[in-house]
Amino acid sequence: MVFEMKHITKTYDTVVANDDVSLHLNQGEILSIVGENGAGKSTIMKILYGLEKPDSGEIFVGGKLQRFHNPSDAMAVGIGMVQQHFMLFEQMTVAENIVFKNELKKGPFMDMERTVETVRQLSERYGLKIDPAARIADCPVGLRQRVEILKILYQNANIIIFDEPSAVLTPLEVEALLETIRGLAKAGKSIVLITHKLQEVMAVSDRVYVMRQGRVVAERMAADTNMEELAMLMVGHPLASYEIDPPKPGATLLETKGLSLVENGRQVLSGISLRVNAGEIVGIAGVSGNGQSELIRCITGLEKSTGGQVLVGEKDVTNRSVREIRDAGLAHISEDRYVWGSAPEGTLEENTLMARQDEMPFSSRGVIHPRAIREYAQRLIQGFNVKASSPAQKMRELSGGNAQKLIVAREMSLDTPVLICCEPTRGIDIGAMEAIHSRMLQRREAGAAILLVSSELTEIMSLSDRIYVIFEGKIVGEFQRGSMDDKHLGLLMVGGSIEHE
Amino acid sequence: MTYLAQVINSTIREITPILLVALCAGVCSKVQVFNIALEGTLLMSAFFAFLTHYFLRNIFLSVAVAMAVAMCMTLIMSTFIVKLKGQPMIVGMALNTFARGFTTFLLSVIFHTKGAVNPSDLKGLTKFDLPVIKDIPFLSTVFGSLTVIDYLAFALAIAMFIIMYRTVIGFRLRALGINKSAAGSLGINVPRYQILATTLSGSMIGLAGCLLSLGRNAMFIQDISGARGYVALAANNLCKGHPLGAMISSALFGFTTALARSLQGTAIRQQLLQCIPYIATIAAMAFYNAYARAKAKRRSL
Repeated sequence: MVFEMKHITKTYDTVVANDDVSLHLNQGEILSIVGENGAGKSTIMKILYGLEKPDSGEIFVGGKLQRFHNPSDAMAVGIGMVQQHFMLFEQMTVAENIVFKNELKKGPFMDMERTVETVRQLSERYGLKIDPAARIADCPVGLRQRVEILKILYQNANIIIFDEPSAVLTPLEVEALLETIRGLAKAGKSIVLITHKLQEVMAVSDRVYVMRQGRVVAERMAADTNMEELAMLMVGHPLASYEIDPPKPGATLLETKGLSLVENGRQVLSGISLRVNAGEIVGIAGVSGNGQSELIRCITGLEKSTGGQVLVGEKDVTNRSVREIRDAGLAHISEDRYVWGSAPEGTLEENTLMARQDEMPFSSRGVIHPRAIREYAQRLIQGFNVKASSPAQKMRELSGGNAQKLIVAREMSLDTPVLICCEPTRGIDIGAMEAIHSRMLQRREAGAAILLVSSELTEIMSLSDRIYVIFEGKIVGEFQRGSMDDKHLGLLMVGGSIEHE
Repeated sequence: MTYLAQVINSTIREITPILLVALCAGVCSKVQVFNIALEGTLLMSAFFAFLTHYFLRNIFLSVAVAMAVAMCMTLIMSTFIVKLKGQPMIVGMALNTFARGFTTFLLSVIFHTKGAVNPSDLKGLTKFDLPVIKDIPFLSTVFGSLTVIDYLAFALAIAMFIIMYRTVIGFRLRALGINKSAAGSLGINVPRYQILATTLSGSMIGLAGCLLSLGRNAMFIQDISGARGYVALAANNLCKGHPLGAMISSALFGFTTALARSLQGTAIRQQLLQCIPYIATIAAMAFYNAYARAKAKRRSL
């Protein structure tokens, strides 16, 4: 046993984040901790890493009782953590990032030659390929994560904690990461993986803890369980499978005609024509980076297209301002909840008010009415089960899933005929995901036209009445619900064509 | 010919105080402490250098006092910004306003004047003549009557480059300036590094203050710093905190100041001449930004 945590309890204000949690990790083992957002899995690892202090309970590392005051204490006994948000020095090189705090010196000077050589050896030893001299700013996300891992290995960590490591990665990078994790375990490191992606859990783990509402509710050997069981344990109730009535499509509410975009001389979108009718959900399937983001930005007015038309209802809104497009009857759950979707430093009230600030009863003659806004915010928070302590809380203090629920609540409560959902459930837990999906289906029943973009193919498949497949900025296929299977879809998404089979 | 040599000489003497202050500004900007109190710090250290010298007639002690005063000012500035999370702009402006009022007040209490004190019997910093050069006609004027601190300024620029870009401590300072939370996550006490680095670098403003009040003759004029603190801030912006770049950008501002001075007595209006260094500041910033943007654009294509 490399570490053991006994009866850990931690409360924030009134919320019990960890309630009598006990867990342990064996030498060379890959342990997964799964649970929804707010289940307490990040908190327990922060306690292990010295970022938080428990109210009660004990931590043993290597059989010895430990008391961590900060991460340095944890690092000193061989615990390292790959944070969800990378902690890197952008303008510095890979090697410099890895040795920071434990620099190789020649008197008072940096010994750069030895630094680069050491880092190269380290990367070869663990098969983590990197260029020690590359600048972080020029490295893609997957490489940055590798640097984070090397940083921890450089500090001689034996226990490596990964906090939602795949959240930011592309599918290919995820593959490489899982391979890395297996390799590290083989090299004798003990791994803790915090995640809610059950495929990854099943792919690499030896053992799994399931957490719910601050408690460990189950412990399973990976070989003795499956994704369905883990998912049930996580949410505490069986997952709803969506029973969708056949669509009753009405008039076309959103249409693009030959929409094109040339960016820096590159054809990002070429002649995209699609239509979304009242009462249907239309999905756009594709590998990330094939023009989905740009397409949505052109439709919603965040970017100016260079050709073609966008119609909302009967109205031509091509390259109009965001305001005009929204006024024509469109709401938009944006791809990045903190960049486009909300103001992280603003309060929940302010964030729910966005786009409605000029309307009665929230304001009149340019003066806002705080009471009406508060009531409205409270209604959305309750109506969508957003876990928040008060409407005056800051947006960034909410967990990702709750922030997303609030944005979804705001955009859906606008009751627009057209709704654009871009990655509506990215990085959030199953409970929140279900809630959002059922709201989308409700809007569909109510006759809204919904355009759904998601990198999760299962999400597209289970919700959409119709699917367009996008590849390199072109629509390469269109399917009705029921007439498609994963294989064909997958083939089209990577540029193959069905006729050639 | 002699005139040219004199212009170069006066340019050098304009450069060095700006350079010293810019070097301090460089350290502050590298560790992400926005120090706009440079002007007030410079004024205070110039005043106390003069005051110490006036009463104690000891040039070494005066320099030491000036450095200590500058470090105190910088320590106050960084403590307020880093520890107490004050708005850098407010903290800086408060210190600048304080310095101006305090020196004017002491000037009138001690010397009973509001303008200038110029005691004829008080000598300034010792002039340092380079051995061989002093016998060469043109060069002797160019490098004439420079003080040790003038030479030291350039040596310090090189030293600061080595410290910031070659040593472990400089590496850590630059890194924590790039990403405070990353440095903190590895167990670095970021506030302590920030305060220590800024305070120590503040001593260079003390040297600059000595140049102002003791550089030629020993004298003090109200507002003797004459916005050099702000000019140094601009110079530092231009070179992005790089100590060697600071030599070039300070030279630009030193030159324009000297130019303005040498054009005095011509037909050009006094007020217009006084604008030259500041117009040069704006122009240089605009050009630099346009250049940087063009470069970035070319890179992205």
